[in-house]
Formats: sequence, C-alpha cells, structure tokens
Amino acid sequence: MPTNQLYADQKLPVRGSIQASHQEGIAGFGSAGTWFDGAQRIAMLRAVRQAGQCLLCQQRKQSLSPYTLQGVHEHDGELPDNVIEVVHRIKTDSGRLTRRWFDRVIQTGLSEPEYVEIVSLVATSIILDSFALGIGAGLISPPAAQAGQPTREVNKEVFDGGAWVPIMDVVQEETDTGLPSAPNIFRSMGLVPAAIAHFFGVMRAHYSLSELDFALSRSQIELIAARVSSLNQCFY
Amino acid sequence: MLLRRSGENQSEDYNLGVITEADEGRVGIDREDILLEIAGAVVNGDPQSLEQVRKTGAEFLGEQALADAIAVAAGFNGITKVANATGLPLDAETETTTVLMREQTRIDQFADSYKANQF
Repeated sequence: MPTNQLYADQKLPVRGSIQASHQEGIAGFGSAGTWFDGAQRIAMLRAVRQAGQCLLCQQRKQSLSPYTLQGVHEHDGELPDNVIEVVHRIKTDSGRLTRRWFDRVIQTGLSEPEYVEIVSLVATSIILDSFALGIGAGLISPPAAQAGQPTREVNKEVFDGGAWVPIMDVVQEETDTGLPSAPNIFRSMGLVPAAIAHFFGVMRAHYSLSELDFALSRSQIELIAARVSSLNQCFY
Repeated sequence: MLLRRSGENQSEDYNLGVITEADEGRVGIDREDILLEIAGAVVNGDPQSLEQVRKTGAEFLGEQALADAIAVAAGFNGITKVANATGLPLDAETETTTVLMREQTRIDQFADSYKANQF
C-alpha cells in the first residue's frame, strides 16, 4: 500500500509524517528482528490486539493486585505462554508491573534481549492502534511475514542504569531542554538497537522535544502527555 | 513531567496536581478540558467515548488540532508502556529537580519501589 493511502479515507487530517511512520512501523512487524522472525512478530501484533478480550487479563485488571490471580491467558497458541504473559500484561496493566514480575518472567526462560524486543513491539503496536482507533479508522492490517532469520546480534554497549534491563551506554551532551541528549527512555531498549529504531521510528512522528509542527501549543502537548502518563501510572 | 518546564519557560504556574487528580480545579492551560478528555478516551480506547471526543474536539479545537492531540495521546500511550515495562528510573537531573513536584502530584506512587510494596 503506498504511504499516501494510509488513512486516506479518514475525515480527520492525518499528517504525512504520521502516515509515513505508521507505514514503516507496520511493515517492520513483518520482517525478522533481532530475536524473533517475521511470523512471530506478526503473531505478537495479533496478541496485543486480542489481549483486551482475555478473561484472565480482565479479572486481573479488576483485582486490587493482579498477582493474586492465577490462570491461563486466552490466545491462539501461536506464541509461548511466557511471551503471551508479557504481551498481555504490558498491553492491559502495565502500570502495575513490578520488578518481581519481571524476574519471574525471565526465570521462565525468556532472555532480557528477547524481552526488550517484545516490549518494543507491544509499545509500537499500541501507538499504531491507539491512533487508528482515536481518529475512527480501522486497525492497520498486519503485513505478510517476510522470509529471514533473526540477527541475534547482542549489543554490548549497555550498563546497569537502575532499570530492570541494562540500558544503552552513550556519551551524554548538554541540551537546552533540561534533559540529557539521550534520555533514559531512549536508552531503555539499548540491548536491542533495532527495537529502538522500530519504536522511535513511529514515536518521533507523535512527539518530539523540538520541531513538532502540530496545531497545539507546547503546553497543550505536554498536558496531554502528562495526563496519559498519569493514567498509565507511569513514573518516568 | 515536562509540563513543569514548559510552564517555567512561559512564566506560567500550572496546577500540575490536577493532571494526576491529586488536586481539584484547573491546570491553567487553554482548552484543557477537551485535551484531558481526549487523553482519557485514547487510553481507554472505548469507541463510544472516542466518537464523542472527536465531535467535541472538532468543535473546540478544529480538526487538525484534534488529530494532533490524538497523535500525542497515542504516542504517549505507547511510550509509557516502555517505561513501565523496563522499570525505568528518572534521568539523574530530573530526579533531583522534581522532588517537590513529585510529592505534590503524588507521582512517587508510580515508582517501582512503591508498586513493589503495593502489589
């Protein structure tokens, strides 16, 4: 599908930068990543979209603590249970994820780089789908899976920065925004640079600390950002 | 919360506690009611709520600003998942300069250390 046809039938005007980033973003699911192949990455996109209908997730969401309820996620069986646990929890209840939960997931055999790639895919799909639903469009169809194997490249330029996973080690420079040149959010998926590229390839069209040509003031943009962060119980 | 810095740059004193529902009243930003509604509807994802905010948003913001507001909300609905799922700490300077603001807005309740005890 040509870039300029995405969202073409929508009443609301969608900026070309967003159309282009979504076109690239959805295509990225179909290609082999660093730890998962195209078919697995597309299966994760589908799993994100099915998570809202998972009874276990609905029950956990209603519980004072999601960790008191045991059960089995509803899914189509394309992905292992530990991957589904990560996908569903990030999608439906990320605000109550804890270090203890993360450690348990890793103990099931998922590697930290695999976990990071899943985080990137889930978060990217949430942006794509939140926007599509927001403007009243249908969800973008998954691409066809491309042939190819994961690169399995390990990025060793990481360090323990206090997050659950090692973050990217980069030289910081001063900026006029008050934030370092590479904020922690950019470095958080440093174990898998391709995951950073995929996610921020979409995210940059939605938000930037500078040069955002939107019909909103900077304060209005930050108000929306802050409210969404609060609703998602996000500390960062 | 970069809105704090945005307010300082414009010599505005925003009531940030309203955003986290730690305070009542108004934040102090033009069109804040509809912008907060858009944020809530995008996070919730309920089709009926979204349809309603599209109608209201188009009326009070205009179609381009509405689409842009949805874009910002959608972006942050994704990026907050990255932060939550990686247990990401604040950047060093932010941590030292936002102590009072985090306390006033109760954002500290979203910290990993707090959640570990809560859940």
